[in-house]
Amino acid sequence: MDGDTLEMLRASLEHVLSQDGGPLSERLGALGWDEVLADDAPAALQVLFETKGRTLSTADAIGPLLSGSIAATLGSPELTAATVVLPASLHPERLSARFDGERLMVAGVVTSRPVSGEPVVLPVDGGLEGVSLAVTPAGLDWSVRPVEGIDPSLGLLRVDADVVAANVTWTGAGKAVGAWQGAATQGRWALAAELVGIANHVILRAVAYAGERIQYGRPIGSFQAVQHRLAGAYASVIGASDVVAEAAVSASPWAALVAKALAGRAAETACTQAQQTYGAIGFTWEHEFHRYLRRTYVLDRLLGDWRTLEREIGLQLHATGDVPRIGSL
Amino acid sequence: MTVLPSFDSPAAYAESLSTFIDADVRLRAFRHYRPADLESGATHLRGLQQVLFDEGWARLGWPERCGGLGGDPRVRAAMFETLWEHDILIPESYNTLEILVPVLLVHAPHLADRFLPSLLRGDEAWAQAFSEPDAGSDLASLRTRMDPDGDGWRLTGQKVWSTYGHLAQRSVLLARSGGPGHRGLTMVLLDLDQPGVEVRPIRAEDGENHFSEIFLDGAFVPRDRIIGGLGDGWAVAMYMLQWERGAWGWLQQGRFHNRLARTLESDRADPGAAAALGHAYAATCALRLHTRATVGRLAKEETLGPEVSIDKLLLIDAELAVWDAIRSSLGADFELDDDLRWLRGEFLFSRAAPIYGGSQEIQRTLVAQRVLGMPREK
Repeated sequence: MDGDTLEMLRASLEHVLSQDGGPLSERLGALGWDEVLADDAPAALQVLFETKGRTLSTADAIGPLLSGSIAATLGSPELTAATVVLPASLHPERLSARFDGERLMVAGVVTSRPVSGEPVVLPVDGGLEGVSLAVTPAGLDWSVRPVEGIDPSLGLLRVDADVVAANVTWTGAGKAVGAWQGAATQGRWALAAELVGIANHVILRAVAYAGERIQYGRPIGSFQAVQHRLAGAYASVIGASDVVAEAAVSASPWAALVAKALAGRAAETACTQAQQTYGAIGFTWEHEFHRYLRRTYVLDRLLGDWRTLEREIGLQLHATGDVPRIGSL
Repeated sequence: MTVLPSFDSPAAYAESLSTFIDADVRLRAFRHYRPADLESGATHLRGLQQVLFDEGWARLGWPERCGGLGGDPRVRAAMFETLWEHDILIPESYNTLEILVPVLLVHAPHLADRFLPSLLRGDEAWAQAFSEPDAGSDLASLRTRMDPDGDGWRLTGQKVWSTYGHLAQRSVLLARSGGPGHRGLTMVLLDLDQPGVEVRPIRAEDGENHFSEIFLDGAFVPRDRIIGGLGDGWAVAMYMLQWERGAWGWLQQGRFHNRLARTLESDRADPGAAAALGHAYAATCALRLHTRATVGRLAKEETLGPEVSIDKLLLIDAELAVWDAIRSSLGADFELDDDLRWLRGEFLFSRAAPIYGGSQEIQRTLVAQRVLGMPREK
């Protein structure tokens, strides 16, 4: 996609995401989204998630991305619109669904309310084999409660279920591990793009504020102490976004892991520096800042927070003794 | 000399070079080589430059009219990457010419034509001489005088922090040919081997002579050794920053990948430092992919603006994080083991990352004011 096309797409998505009502897929359909995806899916999805971050949209884009990825890997189109249950830890390797041979016990989180009778995909702790994927129709033996948490606007829901074996179908024999990893990979770089969108917005708004706020007879943005905080954070966000772009194109789990770690750290840094720039006004309920801060924390935690991921990256480097180069010239 | 094929892509070039390195017996002397000191390293690595020049690898990516073999300039970036992958140190000369020669190609093509082959082959080395004792970050306040004399100029003044200056035969130097401020500056190529020039090495905190002072007392610069026009020195220096801040970062990320890999290989690495290592690796990936885009833009002859300061800021983050992680990983061996002298030297030199080539403060100010549009300080 060239620069002009991207700009147009960004504007259209901003409009779509700022509207309320209806699932995102329907709203995107009106935009000719399928054609956009066919043209250049990595770039389109990156813009979608960045715009979603910037506009603080509550539309569920990550849920359909995960189910779409699993459906594609397994060649099971009936799962395209399924609800995927995330582990309560929100970390894709710390699964919270267990099967004891008779019952499937689930304690997880979903990004939108499952429609009764529609398929729900559950990654189940498979012991040494890693992960198995169970499918069950929504509504049987379910408890679904809205999550308030640090960012109630996001609309996450907590799911607890105790499903009898008769209602469970196992899917993707032999491909379950790859399907779950593929979904986590897509989810990671998409969330990283969303965090980059948030971080960019937060920095640019703080830059604008610092240009207007006068103290000692001059805008506070003319003080180097303020400039250096925001410039340093901005460079980190740019660096993260370059890795996100590579992860989106390559579909490599390793690149997505690194992208998510960089974006989470950069977004937190951006928030820290912006909040200091705002001073007291940034601590008010009325100011938009806290909503971006709250969203940053939840998105950072989803599929692994940056501190955990940095450690995992380091441990993997140790385990393999290899220091791979991401992307070629 | 072997005739090299033309390569479809930097990756194809890298693959062929990799095969060549594995097969060529002359290059065994450079793999895993660590110098006893900086001077012997520079001498030894001239042998590497000769092989890579004579076989054509180092000439690809440079224009044919000045001794290159033409082709995509990104193969130069691929050469550095491939050398690091084979644990071969990059001669400082390559670093210097990657910054200086692109400037000559535009602002003094006759000098590029004349000197590029001998620079590439390591037959001679150049050093940059911009900073002065009273002109560091505030470069435009420099005072070295440039007075007309016959068919040229005489230089009088003092330069400092000239990297590898005591091992160079010539220096790309910024001097004052006119009035105060940015407009009175001119860039020249000065022969260091002449009366009126005295070069004294400065021993850095790692014990090596990384840079020099250059004392100038009537040193002569002939008319045809001007880079750009008379009084254009500031504009030429700003043009140079694209390479000094952009392409440099690409060179360094190759080194960081190499050093992290060598640390993990050593069996001494402590998994307790995993978080620091993961952070350092991620910062190196960001540097790599950001400077890859910069190298691509430079290859297309785009002119880059103040955004190249972002490359330098990412370099600073990565360089500090990588060496902090290495120190953490190695535990007490880092401080105590006498076999790690060279590694410790690189660590100590990494502390200069937020200082050399324009300090972290300067870069942040540029990004704030010229990229983000924040107000200038009154």
